[in-house]
Amino acid sequence: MIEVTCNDRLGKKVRVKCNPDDTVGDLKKLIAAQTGTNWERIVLKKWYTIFKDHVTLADYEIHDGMNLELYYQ
Amino acid sequence: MESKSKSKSSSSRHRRRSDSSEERSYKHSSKRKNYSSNESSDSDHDDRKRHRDKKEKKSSSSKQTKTDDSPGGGGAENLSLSIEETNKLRAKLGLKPLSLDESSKEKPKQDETGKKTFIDKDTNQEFEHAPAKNLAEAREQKEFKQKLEEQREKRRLAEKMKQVKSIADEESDSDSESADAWVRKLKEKQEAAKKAKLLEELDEQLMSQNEVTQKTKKYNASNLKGLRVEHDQTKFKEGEEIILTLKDRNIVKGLGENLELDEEDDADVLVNVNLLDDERAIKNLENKKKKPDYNPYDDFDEDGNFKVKSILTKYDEELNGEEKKSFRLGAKGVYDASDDKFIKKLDDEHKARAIKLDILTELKEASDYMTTQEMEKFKKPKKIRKVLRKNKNLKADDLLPLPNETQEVKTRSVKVEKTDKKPKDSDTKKVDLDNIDFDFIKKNESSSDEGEIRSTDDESDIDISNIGKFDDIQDILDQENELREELHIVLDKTRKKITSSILNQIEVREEVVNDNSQTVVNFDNLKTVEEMDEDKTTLTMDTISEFCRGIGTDTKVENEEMELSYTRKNEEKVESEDEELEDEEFNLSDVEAEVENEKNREEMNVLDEEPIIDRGIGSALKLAVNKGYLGKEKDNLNARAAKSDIQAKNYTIEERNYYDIDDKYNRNRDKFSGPLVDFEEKRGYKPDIKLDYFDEKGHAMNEKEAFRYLSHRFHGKGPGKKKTEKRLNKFKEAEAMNKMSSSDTPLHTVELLIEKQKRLQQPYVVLSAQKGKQDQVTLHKR
Repeated sequence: MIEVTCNDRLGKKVRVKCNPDDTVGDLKKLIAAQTGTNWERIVLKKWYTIFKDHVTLADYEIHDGMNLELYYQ
Repeated sequence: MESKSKSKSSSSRHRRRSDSSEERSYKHSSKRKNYSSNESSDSDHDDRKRHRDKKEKKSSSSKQTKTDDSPGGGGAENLSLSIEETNKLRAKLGLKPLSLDESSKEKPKQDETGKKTFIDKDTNQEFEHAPAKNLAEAREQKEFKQKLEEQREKRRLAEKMKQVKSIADEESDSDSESADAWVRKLKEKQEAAKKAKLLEELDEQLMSQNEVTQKTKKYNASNLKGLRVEHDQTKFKEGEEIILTLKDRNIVKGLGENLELDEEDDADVLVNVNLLDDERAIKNLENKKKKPDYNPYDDFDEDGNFKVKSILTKYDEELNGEEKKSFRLGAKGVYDASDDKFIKKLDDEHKARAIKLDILTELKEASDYMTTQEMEKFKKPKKIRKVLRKNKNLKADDLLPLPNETQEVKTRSVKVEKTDKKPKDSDTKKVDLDNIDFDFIKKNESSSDEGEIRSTDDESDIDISNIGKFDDIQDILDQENELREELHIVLDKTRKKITSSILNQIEVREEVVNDNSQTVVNFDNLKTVEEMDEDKTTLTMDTISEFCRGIGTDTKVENEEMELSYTRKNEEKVESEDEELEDEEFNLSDVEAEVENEKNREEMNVLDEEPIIDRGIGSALKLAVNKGYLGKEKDNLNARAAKSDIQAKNYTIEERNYYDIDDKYNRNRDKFSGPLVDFEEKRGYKPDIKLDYFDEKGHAMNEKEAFRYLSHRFHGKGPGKKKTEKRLNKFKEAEAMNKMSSSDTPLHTVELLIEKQKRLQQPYVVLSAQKGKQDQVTLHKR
C-alpha cells in the first residue's frame, strides 16, 4: 500500500491510499470518490507528463508519499 | 486516532510517517484548541470539541479526515481515507483491497550466509544485489587455479613414473623370475632374429631379379611412345632443345575433382617447368586484363572456326579444370607435325574461299572538309574547250585568209563535218545549217587564228578515233552538242565582226546611194551606230542600243542568219561601187553561195514545221523552245560573253550612269526578263504611267499616305491602335463634312424656320422667351 497526495492548487488536496499495481485510472476513481468529481475529468500530472489511465503506478514509478498534480479537464 | 497510531507504530516507515503527520495535525488542532480556548470563543470551542469527539468516536472504525489547514496546502482541504474506508471504496469500485502484508515492504533480510536479500514489494520476489566484480580477485583466482592445475599435472606425472619400472626394478624382477623364463625369452629373441634374416634374404633375391631384368632393358626413345606432352606443339620449334620432366601425379588415383580426367591419364605426362611458368604468366596477364565475361561478337576462335558456346562458359574452367593443349608422342618418341601443317593449309584454303563480309574494314572518321585527293576526284577535268575561249579578240584584219591555208582548212572542216554527220543520218535542215555555218566559220577562223583551229581540229580528230570506243550514241550526241555550241559562239562573234564591217560599207554606200528603201530590221537597230561611228575602231553605245543588243541575242539564230543574208545582199549591190572592200568580199564570197542556198530553203518553208505535242512533255518542251517561250540559257550566256569582248573596247565605266538602282545591283536580272522580241510597231510609244494606291478600305491614298502604307507593309509593323483610331475618326469626320449641307445646321433649323414662315405667311418668326416653348413645341410637331 502506498499513499499518494494529489493537489490541485485550488483548494483540494487528497491523500489516497492505493496499491502500487493499481492503474492510474483506478487512482483517479479513488480520487473522484473522495473529492466527488467525475473521474473521467481528472488529469494527473507530474511536471509535464500526463499519466495515462491504463498504466500502473509502479510502472510510472509513483512511490509512497509522492505528490501528483491534479487537474480537471 | 492515537490508538490507531499506536497499533500501527511498528508497521512500515510510511505508516509511521503518515501517523506522525496525523499526530502532528492532531497536535496542531489541540494547539489550536488551546488557542481558541484562550480566546474563549465558546461557539468555536464547542464546535471544535464536537468535532473532536466525533473523530474520536469514529476512530475505531476510522473515518475520512478533513483538515482545513494542512501545511503547504494553502488553505486547501486535505482529504484522506483510512484503510478500511479505502477498502470499502475499492470494493465498490471493483478493485482488490489494499495489500498490507509486511513482506511486500522492501526490507533487507539478513541470511545466515550474511548476504543481504531483498524482497520486492510489488512482485514478492526475493532478490539480492549482486556485488561488483573485483578484477584483482578474479586475477588472483585465475593464478590460483593455474597453480592448482600445475600441481595436479605434477602429481599425475609422478604417478605415471611410479608405474614405469626402472632398470633396477627390472633386474630385481628378473631376479625374482625363474631361469626358465629367462631362457625362453632368449630363445624367442633368437627366433625372431632368424625370421627377419630369412625375410630379408627373400627380399634381396626378388630385388636382384628385378634389377637384372631392368638392367637388360635400356630406356630409349621408343619408350617415350604414347607419352603425353602437356604443351602446345607450337611451343616446340625444330632444332630447339627442351627438357621435359614427368609431371607430378596424385598418388591415390581419381582423387577429388579430377576424377574423370584421371581415368585416361594412365600414361605419364611430360612437362617443362619453364614452359609451365610461361603459361602461368600468360594466364595471369589475361586475368589482369579484366576482359568482360560476355562478348557477343566472339563467335570465332583465332583459327576462324566457329565456337560452340555453352551456357556460362566462363565457369567451365573452374568446374572442369583447366583445359590444356597437349599432344601424344608417336613411335620412337617423335611427334609428326606434318599433319598439323596439312590441316592448317586446308584451313587457310577454306578461309581464302570464304567471302569477307566486313565491308567497312577501313573505318574513317568523317570530316567536314574534303581531302585534296577527294577534291581532285570531285573536280571535273578541265576541258580543252577553254583554250578556245581565251583568244577571242577577233579583228576584222584577222579575217584575211592566207591563200594556201584555206585549202587545208577546207579539208579539215570536211573532216569535222563528217564526224558531225555520222551519228545522225536523217538530219533536219537546221543541222545542215549548222554545218554550213561551221564550214563558214572554219574559214574565218583559219584566217584569223591558225593555232586555235588546230586545237579544235585535233579535238575532232580524236573524236573520230574515239568513236569506236563509244558504246552509246548519247555520248556522241553530247559531244556534238557541245561542238555545236562552240560553233554558235564563234558564229556570233564572226557575225558581229562582219556586220560591223558591213555597216561601214553601208554607211559609205548610203552616202553615195540613198535609194536603199528596203531597210531591214537590222539597219534600223544599228542606225545609231552608223551615225555615230565615223572611224571603225570606236564603238559607242547608248542605253537603247545596249537594250536592243541584249534583246537581240535572245532572238533566234535564224533571225540573225536572215539579217546577215540581207546585209549581204545589200553588200552585193554596193560591191560594184566599192572597191575597197575587196578583201572582205573574198572572205565572204565563199560563203555566199551556201548562204544563198540555205536562204532559199528557208524561204521554201518559212515556218518551221511544228512539232506535234502528242508525244509527251519532251515534244511540248521542244515546241516551247522553238516558239521562243523557253530561252536557251546557255546560248544566251555564251552570246553575251562572246559579245562583251567585242563591245568592251573603248568603253569606260564613267560613261555608264545608272538610271535605276536595280540597274546597278541587279544587272543580271534582266537576262531572263522582258520580251524576247523587239516591239517594232511600238517604237514611239511613251506610256503615261500613273500609280494609284488604295488602302484596304478602298480609299485612295496620296503620295505621302501611300509611302506610309507601303513602309508599314515593308517593315511588317503597322501603326498603333491610337493612331489608327485617330485616322479612322478623321475619315469619319471628313465623310460627315462631305455629307453636311453647307446652308443648314445639322438639325435643319433653317429649313424648319423657312417652313414656319411659309405656314404663317409672315416674313419673320417671333423668337420670344415665353412663346419660345410654344414655338418649340410647334416646331417639334412639325
